[in-house]
Amino acid sequence: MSKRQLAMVMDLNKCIGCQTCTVACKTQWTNRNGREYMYWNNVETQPGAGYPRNWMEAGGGFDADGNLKDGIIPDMVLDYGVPWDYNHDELFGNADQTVLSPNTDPVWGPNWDEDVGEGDWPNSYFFYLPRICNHCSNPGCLAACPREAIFKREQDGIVLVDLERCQGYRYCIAGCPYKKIYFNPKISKSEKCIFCFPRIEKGLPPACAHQCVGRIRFVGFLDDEDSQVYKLVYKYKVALPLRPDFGTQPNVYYVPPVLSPPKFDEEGKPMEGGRIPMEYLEKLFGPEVHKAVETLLAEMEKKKKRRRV
Amino acid sequence: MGFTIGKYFNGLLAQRAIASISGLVGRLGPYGGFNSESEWAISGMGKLSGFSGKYRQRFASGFVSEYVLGEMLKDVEKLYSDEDVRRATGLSKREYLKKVEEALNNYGTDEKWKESIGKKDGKPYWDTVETFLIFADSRFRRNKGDTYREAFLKKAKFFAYVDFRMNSTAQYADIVLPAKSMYEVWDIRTNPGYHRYANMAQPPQNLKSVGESKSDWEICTMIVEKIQEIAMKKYKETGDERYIKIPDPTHSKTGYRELDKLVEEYTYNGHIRTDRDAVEFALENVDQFKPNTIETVRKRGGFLQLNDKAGKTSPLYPDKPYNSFENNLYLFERFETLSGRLTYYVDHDLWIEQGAALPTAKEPIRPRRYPFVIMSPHARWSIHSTYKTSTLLQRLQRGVPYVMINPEIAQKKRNKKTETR
Repeated sequence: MSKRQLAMVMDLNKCIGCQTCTVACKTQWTNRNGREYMYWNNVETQPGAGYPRNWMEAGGGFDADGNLKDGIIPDMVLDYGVPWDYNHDELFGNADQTVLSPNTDPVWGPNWDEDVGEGDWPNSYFFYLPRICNHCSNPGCLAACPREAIFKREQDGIVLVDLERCQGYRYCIAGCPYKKIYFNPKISKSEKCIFCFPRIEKGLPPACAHQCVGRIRFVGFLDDEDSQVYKLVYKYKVALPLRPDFGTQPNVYYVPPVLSPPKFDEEGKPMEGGRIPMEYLEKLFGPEVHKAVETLLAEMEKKKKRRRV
Repeated sequence: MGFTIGKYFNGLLAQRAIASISGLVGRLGPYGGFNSESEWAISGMGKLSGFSGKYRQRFASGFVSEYVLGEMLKDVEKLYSDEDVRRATGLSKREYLKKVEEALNNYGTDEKWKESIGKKDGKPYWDTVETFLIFADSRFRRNKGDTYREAFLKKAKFFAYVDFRMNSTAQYADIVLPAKSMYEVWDIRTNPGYHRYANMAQPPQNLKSVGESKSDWEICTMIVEKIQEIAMKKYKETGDERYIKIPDPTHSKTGYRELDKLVEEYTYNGHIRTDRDAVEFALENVDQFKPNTIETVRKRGGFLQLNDKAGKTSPLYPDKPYNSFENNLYLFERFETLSGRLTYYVDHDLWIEQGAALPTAKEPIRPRRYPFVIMSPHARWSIHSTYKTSTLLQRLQRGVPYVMINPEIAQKKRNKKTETR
């Protein structure tokens, strides 16, 4: 257990899926040296298979008794998607005869099922789910590593890989139920989101949070009662961990999406309640989601009333 | 009122129909009205662009001048059948194209331009241009097909292109001048009427230029400096005034352009040499930006709220939505129509002949031989063609162009052979 824990809250009602966070992270950390295929930060459309494909069904995490569950290592081509390149050189000067085309047939990528979602018109629905490493209090990756190469920092609970100790066994990838730790084939070691700790140490927020256009991300220490994360997680209890049933105790929390447009009945009249089924939100955020949604709607209503006066 | 639907075939009729609604139901000013683009008035830059009335620019409708320049009537010949034209216009293809050609020949030439000098409105110009300095306009991509490009390159004796990327148009230029991108320069961007903010862009601190790239302001300043330098050199060598006084009876009050004063005139007596100078000048001089300086805008993260003078036909109140035509309703200002009143019926021979005197629903010209139409919005991960070739952004999509079709429609269409255009 670390002494303190840094946490992030993401308000899914405010995410517009612009991928600025993804690009901020990619250009800062993963556009080189064997990390090209990795997206330490990705934004996926839910419901959807996400990134890597079907990560939610890929195992890892802990059972009710606290035992580590088996998991799989996603396939580079089918699940992560190869980082394809383009024929820019060939195109140059030959724009008439050549078209821009990838060097391989893409079959999956970090944003493959963008905006697909579920349901039929006019009641189709989707929302965006930005994901980084959850910097769990009980990390599946850490538990799975036979080399004790993964550790939580004392001062802020950030989960890091000691690249000196890592031998590239990849048990951590199977053990993480969020599939947020990646194998670097170039150096044969595992790498992951580092919560931008070099920035944190300078007093700056992680690049993904800093660049967020929708201002959806809040960063702070969970024991700091003045912090936004404390208020959202503990005081109002509106920010919840993703898939708490995986048993890793994530430290990234989500304000569930409640601002979906209404459902329409067969005559096209709006009905009560949002479009995203509560059962689905419960699957993602656990049974606490009902209370959180209630609080969110009540607080939003209060604010609206104040504005009318 | 929709983004430039007037450019679509019979779109002007649709625009008039939409505009008529608010007039016919009496919903103007605070009770309604409508917004269109070009709804904000931005004034105060005239002394810079107008050279105190010394020179007249050759303004042209971008749409029509490109049409003429690229000989795009040839594409019309290829694309639309007689039946298509009849359906949309009531005239045969021959009759209709003859009318278009007549109209084009009646305006826009050097001769016609001279005739209309001094008139307040209507100075279209699309006569032969031979030298081009084009900024960030991938026109060979925008105007699809080969006709435009071939016609353009045939007419262009010299084609200089300025951009921050080597796009498909840049590849045909005689010379490409490397520009800084929009995030690397000082700039103020306003929107023609969708929101009431302007955004000030400023380069990040300590940013190093890529290669020799410069802002477009700096590029222009360097070009005029070079032109003046060459002209002065030749003038000094020969003593011949013709090198510094270029005859221009149509567009210059004095009858010639003075190359010995080019830099002075272009930079507003040396005040505006760089992009930053231009931003400062705009903040000092644009009525709708006042009161502001670079510092006050920077403090608000680059946001600048336009003041009440920005509204064209109503004041732009700081705390209320913008509704047009208040000035016409309360101050009895003339509407911007020929009669000065709301106009539903256009009493003009051509309009009457075309059955367009009143806003009337008409068939589209779209060729029937293409049965499946894809309405594509602005792409999500590019700005028109910019960034369309970015590996970083393509990897966040599916890597190739893709179309999403409603499963039921796909089922219906799957057995029909289609070609795309």
